[in-house]
Amino acid sequence: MDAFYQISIVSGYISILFGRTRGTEDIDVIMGKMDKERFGKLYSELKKNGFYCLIADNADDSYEQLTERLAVRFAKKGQVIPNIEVKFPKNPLDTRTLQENLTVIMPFGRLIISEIEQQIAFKRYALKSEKDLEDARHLENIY
Amino acid sequence: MIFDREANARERMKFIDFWAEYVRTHPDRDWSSQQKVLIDSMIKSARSWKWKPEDYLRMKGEL
Repeated sequence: MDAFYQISIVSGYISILFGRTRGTEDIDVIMGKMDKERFGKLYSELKKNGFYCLIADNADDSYEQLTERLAVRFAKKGQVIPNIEVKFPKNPLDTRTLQENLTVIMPFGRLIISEIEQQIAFKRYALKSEKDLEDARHLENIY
Repeated sequence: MIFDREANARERMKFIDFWAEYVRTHPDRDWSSQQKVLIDSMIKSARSWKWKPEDYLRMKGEL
């Protein structure tokens, strides 16, 4: 997917990827803005690979959600959890994560993730829930 | 019984430090196999709820 679309994984999944012992029900993904036609191709590709959109059953409605600054979630057919929460960038920080990111080589392929320092700062100073503070501490300890 | 939130948070942070040290000093295969047990069991448990997409989205405040 990242070969054709500008994406970056952010938030909880990153701390889990680096060993944090907690679960998550979704993987947060920031996706570069695109036009409706291009999104339609992505939607078809996801559908062909066994995914569905939880909020809308067609590409146009999903795209409308995204452009209204809302998230859309995709999961494997017949499942709700885990799911992928996709958003277009809403602020300069989201835009930055699409420009400055890291590539993690996994046995199954490549993952594009946000910079670790950005995640630590965002979780510690913006989100600040118990879970986020723990995620930040874990990442800081690892790096 | 009184629940001491601060003491609980301190305990949790201690474990975060302990576990991060474990991750840093042990092979990936070692810690990730332990992590996998936890994550797989949580996903299995979550799936057993048989969520409908609309119920899940409502719970998340997205519908």
